Amino acid sequence: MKKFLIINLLLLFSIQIVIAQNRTIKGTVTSKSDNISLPGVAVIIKGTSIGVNTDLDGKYSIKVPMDKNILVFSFIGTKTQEIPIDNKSIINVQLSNQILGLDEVVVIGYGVENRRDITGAISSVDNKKFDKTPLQNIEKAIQGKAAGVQVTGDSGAPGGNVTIRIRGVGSINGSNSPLCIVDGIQMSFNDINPNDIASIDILKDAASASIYGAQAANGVVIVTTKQGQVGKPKFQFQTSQGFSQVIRKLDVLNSKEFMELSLVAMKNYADIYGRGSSSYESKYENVIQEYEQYGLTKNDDGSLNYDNVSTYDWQDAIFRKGYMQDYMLSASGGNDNIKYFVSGSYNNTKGSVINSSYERYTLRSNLNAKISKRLQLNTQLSLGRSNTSNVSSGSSYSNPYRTAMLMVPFNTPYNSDGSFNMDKYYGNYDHNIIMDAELNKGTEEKNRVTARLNFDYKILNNLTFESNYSIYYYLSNYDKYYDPRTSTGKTYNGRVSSEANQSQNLQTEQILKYSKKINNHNFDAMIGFSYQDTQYKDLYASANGVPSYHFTYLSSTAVPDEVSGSASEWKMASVFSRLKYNYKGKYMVNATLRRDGSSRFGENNKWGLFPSVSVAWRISDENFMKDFTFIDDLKIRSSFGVTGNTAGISYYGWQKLFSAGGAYGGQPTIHASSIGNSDLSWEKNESFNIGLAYSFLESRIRGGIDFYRSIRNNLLYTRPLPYTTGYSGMTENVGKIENKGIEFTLNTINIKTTDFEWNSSFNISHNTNKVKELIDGVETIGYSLKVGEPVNTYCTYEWAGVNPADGRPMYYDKNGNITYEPKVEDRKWIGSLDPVVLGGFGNDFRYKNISLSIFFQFQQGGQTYSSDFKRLARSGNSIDRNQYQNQYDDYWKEPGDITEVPMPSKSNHYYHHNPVTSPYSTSTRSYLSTDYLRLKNITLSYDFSKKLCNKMSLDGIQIYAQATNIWTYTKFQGWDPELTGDDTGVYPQGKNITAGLKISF
Amino acid sequence: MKIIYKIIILIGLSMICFTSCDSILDNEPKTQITEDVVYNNYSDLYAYLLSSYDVLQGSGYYGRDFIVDADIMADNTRLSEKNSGRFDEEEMNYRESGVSTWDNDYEIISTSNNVLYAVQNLSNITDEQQKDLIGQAYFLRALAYFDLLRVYAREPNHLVNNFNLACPIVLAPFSFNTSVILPERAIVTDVYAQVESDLLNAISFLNNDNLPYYASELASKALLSRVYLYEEKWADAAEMANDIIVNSGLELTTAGSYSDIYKKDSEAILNLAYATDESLKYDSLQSIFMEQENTLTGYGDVVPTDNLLNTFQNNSDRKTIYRAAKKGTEDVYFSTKYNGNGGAFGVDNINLIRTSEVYLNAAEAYAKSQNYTKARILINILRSHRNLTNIEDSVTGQDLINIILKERRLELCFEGHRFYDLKRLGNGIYKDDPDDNLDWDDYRIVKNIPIHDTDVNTNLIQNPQY
Repeated sequence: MKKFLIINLLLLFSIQIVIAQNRTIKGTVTSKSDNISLPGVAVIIKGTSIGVNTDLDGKYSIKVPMDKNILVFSFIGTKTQEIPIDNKSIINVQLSNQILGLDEVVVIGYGVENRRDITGAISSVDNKKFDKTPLQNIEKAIQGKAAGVQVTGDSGAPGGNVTIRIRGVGSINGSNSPLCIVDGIQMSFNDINPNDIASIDILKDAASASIYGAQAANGVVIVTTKQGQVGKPKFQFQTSQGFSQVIRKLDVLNSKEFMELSLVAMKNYADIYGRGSSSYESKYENVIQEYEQYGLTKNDDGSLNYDNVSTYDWQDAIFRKGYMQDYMLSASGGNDNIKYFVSGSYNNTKGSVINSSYERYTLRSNLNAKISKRLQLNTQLSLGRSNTSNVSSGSSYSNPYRTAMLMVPFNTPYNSDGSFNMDKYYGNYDHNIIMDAELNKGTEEKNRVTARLNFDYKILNNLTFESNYSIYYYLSNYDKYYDPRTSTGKTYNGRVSSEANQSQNLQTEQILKYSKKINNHNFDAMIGFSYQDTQYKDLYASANGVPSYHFTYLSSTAVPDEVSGSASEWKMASVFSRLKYNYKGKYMVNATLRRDGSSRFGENNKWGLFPSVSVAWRISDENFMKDFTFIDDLKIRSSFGVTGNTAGISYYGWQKLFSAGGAYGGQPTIHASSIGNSDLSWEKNESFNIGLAYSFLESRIRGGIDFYRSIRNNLLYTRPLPYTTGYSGMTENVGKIENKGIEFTLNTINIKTTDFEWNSSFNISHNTNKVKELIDGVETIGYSLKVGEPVNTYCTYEWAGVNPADGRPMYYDKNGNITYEPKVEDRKWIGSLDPVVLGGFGNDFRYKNISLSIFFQFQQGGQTYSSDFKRLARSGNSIDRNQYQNQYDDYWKEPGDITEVPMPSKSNHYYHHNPVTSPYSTSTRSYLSTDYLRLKNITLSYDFSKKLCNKMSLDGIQIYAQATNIWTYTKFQGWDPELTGDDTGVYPQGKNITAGLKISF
Repeated sequence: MKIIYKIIILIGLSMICFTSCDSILDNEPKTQITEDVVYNNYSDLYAYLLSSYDVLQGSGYYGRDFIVDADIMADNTRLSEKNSGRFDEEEMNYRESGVSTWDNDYEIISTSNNVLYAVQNLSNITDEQQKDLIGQAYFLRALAYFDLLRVYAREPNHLVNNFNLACPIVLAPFSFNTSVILPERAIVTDVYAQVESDLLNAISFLNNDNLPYYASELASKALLSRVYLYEEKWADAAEMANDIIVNSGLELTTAGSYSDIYKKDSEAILNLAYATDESLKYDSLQSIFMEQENTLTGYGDVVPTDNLLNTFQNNSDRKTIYRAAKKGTEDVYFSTKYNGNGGAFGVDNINLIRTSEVYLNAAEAYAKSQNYTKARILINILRSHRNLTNIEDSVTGQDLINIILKERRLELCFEGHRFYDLKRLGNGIYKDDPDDNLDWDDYRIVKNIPIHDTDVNTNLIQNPQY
């Protein structure tokens, strides 16, 4: 046996030596359109990682082994060519221009497609658009870049969540977020290294998204990470460092202005309401006495002296210059048999509010291995971990960025001896927010692991079988600590709470793909099966009483407080299929059909069918269009499809259930908790899209227009039931919402020469949203839902300004006349809260090695309810909180004054014995427009010349500087108009400037 | 080639078949259970039945609101000068003020309906367990319907303008296919008939092993005597109450040990039990009725009126339960019936039905049936246990009745009776200041049906003037 092996090994070696002979091939590569020689073209021996680049004259010379016969020529912007060598020793090649974008690969569901052949509405964002911007959340990469897609940061906190809406809002109680997929795994976009992303594709119309069936009604966002390429190993190192700051501080009063305004309010109250009565006079004197403790003095003539009153700037105290640093390193390469992309990154961000920070580590390994001629194995492994340190948020009095603007300005956080001031506070806000932010802790640690295994087996040349298995594992811990020295912590003697959540998502797909070409007719068919199982578990414990502030863990506490824990699960099984027909690239038809079953659907509606069909016609290929040479490409496409929305259906919502709760006589009891609904099912979206994709003048002008109309019905809603049934309500599918709109995209190449280039891009979308139906026969529900109005709207009193004669706040009644006391029937529907128009436009310039890109983003037509506006704009009437500057500058003083700020009067007493509705009750005055135009990003970068790089044995060096959110035009008076919903206590968005370095070697 | 196509078709078909198989989507919840489990396991069904007691224990029901409202909406209590603002609307009998027990009562009724239905099919259950389950279900349902009658309707003999609607009668588990989803209000007498029927059933199924923290035969009889009293069925009330007095072996608490009623449940026929970790804390009766002596913990907002205090006789045992104190700058008395007797702040067992009430029911029923001798004997037994002298034989007729009603007021104050007693007598509601008295036909004496139900159920007719 041994002898046999040794002989075989020797034979193999000798055969190798015999075959290892080379021949040299030379040639020149030029551009077909203008015959200019092309430097930097990659010439690679097919089947190896051996290659050279053409020199400055377009010439190349390469040694090719005798057993290799094909050279591959590739260059950006041109069509790749593969040339067989045969007996030649000189091979000259002419590369022709690609029509920009058409050969770009777009990720569709369960596959890829050339952009030229897509029949649906899909927006793609190339990674070059965001690879220099420091992003903690990759959703922000899309902001303003895809028509019809609204991306909003829910909070400016580092690592804060982001909300995405595609083509308007379609659900009342369900979720409006799109399905998020990374490399085929359904998962959230938390903690992904933005540098790992190759492309982001957004499936907007039902026909593109329908392949994802019951989860795709809100659209689908697909993120694809980088894969290895054939060639020698390429390393890339990138680092960014920079500063951030809140976009704006609010203009509020200083102490003198505050005191003056409060005293005016007291005086008016006494004069008008008390008619000069002595008890009201004494209340006025009481306030003066309180202010005297803070520096107010009286002059000899009785007038007030503010010289000794000092102002403390609380906003300055809680804001700081944030600092961000980011490091990324990746390696990729490969040959015909194995390709790899491996990366790691580290991000450390200190937020612009004290004590808020974010730290993230990621690791990724993508491998593609050709195991045999027929079998390809791909693996993806990624690890992400982040640590966020937060401060109090929301309407809590400890929330620093909310209380800082409301805090009475002569309060100080420190006593004269330097210790924290804990009880000398005037006014409603009496928490030492600096102390709370510094001593109390809230840390959130998130861990994410994904693993995916994918086999591609080529059964025949045109028949492949794909088998995928993936797991997404997510574990988060949230620990909070109330230091016993702080005012909140004192009541508990210190409090510790700890929460652990984990979820695990297993997914598998088995897909069969078949393609057949008969003459010019191309058929592609696909049928697949998928199954997914998501399990979720959580645990929570809290306890009070620690010996001192040195002890911050549960094991150190004395009194257990609350303990809870639960688990839940849901499953989904699906079959999906797609049929594509393509005739010469001129006529394209695409049909999909998916059948989805989910454990969340009621017994009577377990399975749903989601079909779609779309067609496209490349008009520019028709004979009658040949004369229009300025048209490169003109394609009309139209689609219709059905998708569903499952998110928002609780996992066990359809079942009639009983749960534990309460106790009697020492025995825990069971309550009927939910009546269930066997008919409960997905929200349904039927959507129609018609669009045009165009490219003129050799790609100098390209873009698309889309019109769409979607009807959402079977919306999730809790219908009230009479208590006589033993239940108060039941979740049902009712109602109808319509979204229709138009999207327009335009990309232009304005100037293109060797030394200078200027490209522009523009996108804009308009969406109207309307409720068509609610539960049967009901026209209006409460003050926020009405048939004929947008889904997100409100019905409230209409503010009419301030009466110039007496300074009273005025409202309009239902007939448009002025009233001082509006009634319920005077309320008016105020239109959409969501923005109606969204868009962005950018310009990219390049001069030799310097690039400049400027991107603006805008939205119009939305408004938001600002409850903090109501607190900051009340003419100083409650004298217990700070006010906007204009409340002092512009308040009504005497008859004839025209202003928006009513007369200050304590407790809103405006007119003796005549009731009047307070200016700070909810009205259109508290709904602020969120229109804005923002210079979202400006980036300047410089690429070092090839010569310099070669001297340092590097492939490329790039340095860049960029600024985000650097300029905003808006009338919004709160922190920032970019938000969804109420802005109470939302961490303000920040602007930042960073500089970075990118090295490839 | 052909084989390949066959394989493809096979795979395709198997995928489709696979997805028609519902069992791959089976998913049982982990922290909740389905109807099957509850209805087929005795321990789960019993725990489900007990949830009705849990509902009664809440601060929105007997845990506080029901008990406090019954006195403050009448003339027994008032708010102290310095107060936290709680119960101010009830003190002034504002429109739509007062406890709303509609949703709680229908939860109890629904639970009983489900238990009664499920127990028929339950195997693996002993005879005793079955009887106990059925009996308690009937009792609790009766209690719920009786409270619905008291709060939302007039008594049969004291209708206003002949408006005789009470509440919908629901007796079966709810099902969309078989139940009336929007039921109408039934007539008062029909609902009372239902209460009587349920209590008679309870009496037949229950024994007295579980006295006094769970429904029992005696509790059912005692409640029935109260129900007959409200219906003014004097003979039935007298007979039922007398049966208990003579045959049950229950004793009134002895003179000099009045506080044992609250500290030791000495007269308990049905008491709601609270464990030390079930404290309602600041929402408890202890908190609303008292400020603690040294720490001043508790709101202590609801204090007895001078009218009530002056009605007590000086040497009465009942007076010993009141502690003089200073609330802020005001001199008040606090009722110490609820004194954290369960071992922690806010933890007290609450007397729902006790022996004294049975004596009072009997005495009043006999007196109203003109059997003044028997009435006088019974009221004197009670008085003697309260360190009070006997009522003389000469007192008879309306005078005797008035004394019995006064005894009822003084004995059962702070225990959830006064307002409903005044209402059932049809004289109107007395307030601390007689100028504030409500006429007997004042619409506010009956509570409005919750908007949640009147909005959804168009067959429900709202009470007059709401």
